[in-house]
Amino acid sequence: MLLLPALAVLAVFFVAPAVSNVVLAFQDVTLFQLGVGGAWVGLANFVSVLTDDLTALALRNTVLLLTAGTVLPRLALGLGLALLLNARVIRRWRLAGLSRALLIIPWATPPVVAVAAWKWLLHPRFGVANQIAVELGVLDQGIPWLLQTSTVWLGIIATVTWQGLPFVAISMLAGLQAIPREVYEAAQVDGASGWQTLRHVTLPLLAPVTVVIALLTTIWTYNNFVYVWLLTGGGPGDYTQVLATQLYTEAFVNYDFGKGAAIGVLMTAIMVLFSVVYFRFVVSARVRPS
Amino acid sequence: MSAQHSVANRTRDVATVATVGVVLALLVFPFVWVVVTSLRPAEELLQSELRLFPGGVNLDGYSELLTSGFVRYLLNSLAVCATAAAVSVALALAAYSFSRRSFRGRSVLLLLVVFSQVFPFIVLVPSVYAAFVRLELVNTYAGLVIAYIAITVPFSVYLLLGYLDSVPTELDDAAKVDGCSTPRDPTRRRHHGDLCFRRRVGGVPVRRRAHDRPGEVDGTRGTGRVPRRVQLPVGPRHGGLGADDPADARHLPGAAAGPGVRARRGLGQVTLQVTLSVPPAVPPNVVLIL
Repeated sequence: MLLLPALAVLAVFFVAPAVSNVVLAFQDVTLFQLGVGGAWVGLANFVSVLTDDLTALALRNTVLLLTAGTVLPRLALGLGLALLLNARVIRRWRLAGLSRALLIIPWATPPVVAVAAWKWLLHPRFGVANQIAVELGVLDQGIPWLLQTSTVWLGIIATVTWQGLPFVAISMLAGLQAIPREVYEAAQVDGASGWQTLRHVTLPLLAPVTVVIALLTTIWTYNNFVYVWLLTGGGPGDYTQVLATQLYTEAFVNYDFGKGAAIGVLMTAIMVLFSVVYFRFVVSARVRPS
Repeated sequence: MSAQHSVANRTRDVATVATVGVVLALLVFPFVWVVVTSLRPAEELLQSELRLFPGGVNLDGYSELLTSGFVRYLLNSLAVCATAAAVSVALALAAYSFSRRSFRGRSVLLLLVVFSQVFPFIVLVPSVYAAFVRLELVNTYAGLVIAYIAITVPFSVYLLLGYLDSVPTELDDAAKVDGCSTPRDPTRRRHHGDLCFRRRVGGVPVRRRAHDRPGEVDGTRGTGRVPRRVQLPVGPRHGGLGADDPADARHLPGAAAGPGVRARRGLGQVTLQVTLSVPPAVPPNVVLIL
């Protein structure tokens, strides 16, 4: 059977770690006990996680700022960009290929490179973002974007949005191009204005694609660790800790693997809950047979 | 009148293209800036005033890279990713079983594969690390390759499944009638009495395995189209003849319109199968973690 090898890999390196992660969550494990297994401590890890003020902050950061804060702008900007790129003039002037190739660049940049580039752009003194702002007279002097609490989330959101926007835009563009031209012609015959066509023809027909893109980007962003970790390391202080970085900090900085695993269990539970609710209420309502 | 009209159109076209140009320039800028910075003379790197264009070209950075360990790192990356990719693609053939066979536990396993897309991989890190310590896989190529395979297999299966499902089973049936074999399937043995296994066209076995070339058969490869609404009822699915179940949506014209977005409903749960088809130029650079 073709199935067996893949299932074996899944079982050994996916299901087994997932299960052992749950087991770890009920143990007190330090680095030296990793090989032998730690002592059972019952729910102590969960109590420790749930009573930690940092967890509440990390949860709020993950859901509101990292996920909602970057998914919504990506969807809005992606839709706008897709509509622009879908304009007939782009094709008529033979710019379709060029514009898509340029659009893909942020998406094709490895996340580590993207983060390095943005850290350099946002550097307090030598960053070009500050230099341009100073040159234009918007700012008197450069601001340390990623080092002060008032702007650090702007920096993270800008980076994540920049890297994720092409995926949304390209997917929506594909969705737009799948809409049959006849529908627009029918709308035109009925005397619909441009806005009405957008509101009552384009957007409803784009909804199934949008629903899926929203789900995927939400999952990817929520689960993501690299952006926040590499941009700020959770700092300044613990100001930008998200669940993923909190997990990593507990497990590999404080060497409390049990607590890290407990955070992991909670993180998964939240994602599963979100997915189930999303499937039940959004996907089943939107992606219905026509 | 018509001249006025075309002038208005012309203005709008230029405005559209200009907007697209500005937006794309903004999107590409961070990447271009990395390239520009890499070529700048060293003394220009740390300066506080804005200087968009470098004063000269300096390749010191690159030559320094090549003389340090960079080549080794590059080879490390290539070796690890090539091995992981090859194994992962080979294992992804499991998708064939999911697409063409019905077997006990199919829906549960499929759910597992879908769930793995929702799962935050960072959660697995502590327990995989613990397992690797025990197996002495820490700091080895093998460990890295295994970790990558574990992460990419579910996604590969999932992606391939979308393509395979878009190939109509009629083609399989036709190929079987022509005498082609299919991968051994223990559950099919019972049906060996089926005429279809022995039939030949004109007594000559025809070697043609249409299902090996997804996309070619329905001509949708690379069109970048996402079918808007395709819903497939999940039920026991049969390979081979006898798959003429009218409820199987793949038999409906248009349902085979290529990889795209489809929702499946059945057995009390709704699972969403997502294959976002993007233009072929797009690398599926889906970085789920790290």
